[in-house]
Amino acid sequence: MPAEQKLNPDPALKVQIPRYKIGIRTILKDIHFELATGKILAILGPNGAGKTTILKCIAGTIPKQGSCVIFGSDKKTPDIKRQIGYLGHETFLYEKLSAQENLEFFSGLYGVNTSVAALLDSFSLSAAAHQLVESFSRGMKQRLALARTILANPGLLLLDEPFTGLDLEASRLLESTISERRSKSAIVFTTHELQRAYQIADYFLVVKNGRQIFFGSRNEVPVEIEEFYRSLTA
Amino acid sequence: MSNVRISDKILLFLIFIMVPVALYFAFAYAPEERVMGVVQRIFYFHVSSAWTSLLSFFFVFVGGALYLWKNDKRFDYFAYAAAELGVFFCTIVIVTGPIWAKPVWNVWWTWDPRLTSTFVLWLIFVAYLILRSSLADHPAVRKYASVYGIIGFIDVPIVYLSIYWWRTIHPRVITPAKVDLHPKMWYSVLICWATILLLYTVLMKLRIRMERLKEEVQILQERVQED
Amino acid sequence: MSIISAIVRKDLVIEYRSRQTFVTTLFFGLLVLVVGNFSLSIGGEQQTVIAPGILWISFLFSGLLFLNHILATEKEENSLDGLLISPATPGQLFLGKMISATIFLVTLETILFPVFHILFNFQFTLNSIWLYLVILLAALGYCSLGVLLATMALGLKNREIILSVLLFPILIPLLIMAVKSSIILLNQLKMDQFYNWLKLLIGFDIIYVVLSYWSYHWILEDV
Repeated sequence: MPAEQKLNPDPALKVQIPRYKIGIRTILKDIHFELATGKILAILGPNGAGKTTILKCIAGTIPKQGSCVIFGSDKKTPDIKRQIGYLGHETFLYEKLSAQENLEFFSGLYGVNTSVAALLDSFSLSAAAHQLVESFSRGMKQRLALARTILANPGLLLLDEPFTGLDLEASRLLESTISERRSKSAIVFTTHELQRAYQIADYFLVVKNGRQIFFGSRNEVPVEIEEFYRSLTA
Repeated sequence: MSNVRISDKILLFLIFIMVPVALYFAFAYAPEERVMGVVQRIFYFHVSSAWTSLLSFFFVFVGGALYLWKNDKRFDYFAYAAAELGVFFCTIVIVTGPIWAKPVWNVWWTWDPRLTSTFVLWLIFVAYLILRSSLADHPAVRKYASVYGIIGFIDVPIVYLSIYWWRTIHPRVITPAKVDLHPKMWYSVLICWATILLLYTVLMKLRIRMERLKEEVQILQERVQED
Repeated sequence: MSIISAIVRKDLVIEYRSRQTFVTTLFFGLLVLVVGNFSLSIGGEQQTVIAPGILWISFLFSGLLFLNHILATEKEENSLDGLLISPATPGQLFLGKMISATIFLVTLETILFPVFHILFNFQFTLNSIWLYLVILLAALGYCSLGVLLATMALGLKNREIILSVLLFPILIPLLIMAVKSSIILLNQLKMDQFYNWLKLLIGFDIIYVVLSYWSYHWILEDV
């Protein structure tokens, strides 16, 4: 089934990757989709399908092949980069700095003046503000990483398997963060949790072996999403 | 493809002729130097190799700069081949230097500007080759190597300057202002250099072709992988 | 500007928290001085000419350790990617790292400076101020090239060795300038040649800081 291209008004994000290669291996092929501000896209697919690569390509942590137009610009200027909030498998945090120092550093890096104290508070990390990150539990690190991601009020949120391995508290915070930022940003996340994806997302992109095998809105996805997914990826 | 073969054949033919000619010039035609004797004849190969290696490293610089500017792999093939050949000829310079120096000045090595600069140049471009082989599969190897090649080449005049006023016992035989050589010697140098340049050209072509073929193999491998 | 100072401040705080690397490198630098001293214990005239070389060998190898460390701190939690995604330009990242590395190296040398004088029996004179300036300039040149090449070597297994293989040949002029200056200063020789060396050193620094700054974005593109 050919991938359908949905046109969203005023796309915050427009991705076109005809082919993405690392050395000899082709990792991605024929990826195209668009996403408007205020909409959420869930990227689904089996392990190794290339979901993380797509996100990294948009974020810019791997060299670009193809085009990723973010807020109208294909080039990643500092202003565009300021609009990108990326949460990957690694936290990007500095173990030898405290929670507060980490956020202060990223504030300086992104040139924003957000109140670090308030941010820590909203992520239930006020008590540990001056504790070094190396002493943090996994859940605390995840919460701090999320705080770091939305620090600069990004217009484009890229979350790579954000729900995986979260404790209850962090999970709850993540959901509330997403619903809070929903109206102000375009959000893209990858996940294995189909039900959760169905609850949150407006659009779905299914990838298998680096190829895009489905892109569509909620209306086109049946409620029995698991079956639908299985039929696509079989 | 057949075009390339013809020009190669011409080059090889020229070399076949030039090598004995050059040897004749170096060993027979050029008069024996008064002071140094027969050993001095190494000078023709030593100097030709020195000029060739310097030229070759300049090509590394140019190739690297062009690759960074135009992002065309062919410039990088050129730079890589030039680096390998540059090191080869530079090695000849460093080896023939002492061979010449020992019987004449009774020292194996002197830290005069020219020989030292050549040695440092050799070190830098050997490091370049080590960088390339360590980074062989890294996606950015060409960019890194280009940057290093540019910096390395720019370093050379600085090296030379920084030991410039040390006493030199390197004979200043060919200077821009005055040529201290007997004309026959001068012709011999030029003939030798021309021969070495011909050899250099053939080797460069072969090496660049090798790089290109490597790339083609890779592309074919990709195609196989995809199906 | 504030991005650069944020990066420098972060590096300084991290290093202060785990003083381990600094202290170990300091000890290493000291060891090189001591071992050098023993190796040259012929005593008398020869030592004063060769001794400055030992100072710079210690400088070179200590600096190498710092350079590796400065980039290595960005490997845990992959924070280098975090920096690449951020609005910081490659130039700003470069300057931040370069300044951090220079500060570490200069701090270390400041501590070893009197130790060197004592170990090798050199007097503290007005020339010592010039010598300190030479150290500052040498550190700047060293760290500019060093950060560039250390970033290149970051992905490699044998990154420390590769960094020294890449860095040392190119830095030979720097070494020559530094050693020659030191010999003149420490032995109270005539100063005219020293001023020439100083000018060359400043020129070298300018060239290499500018070159490294400008080429850094090529290096970061495909890290």
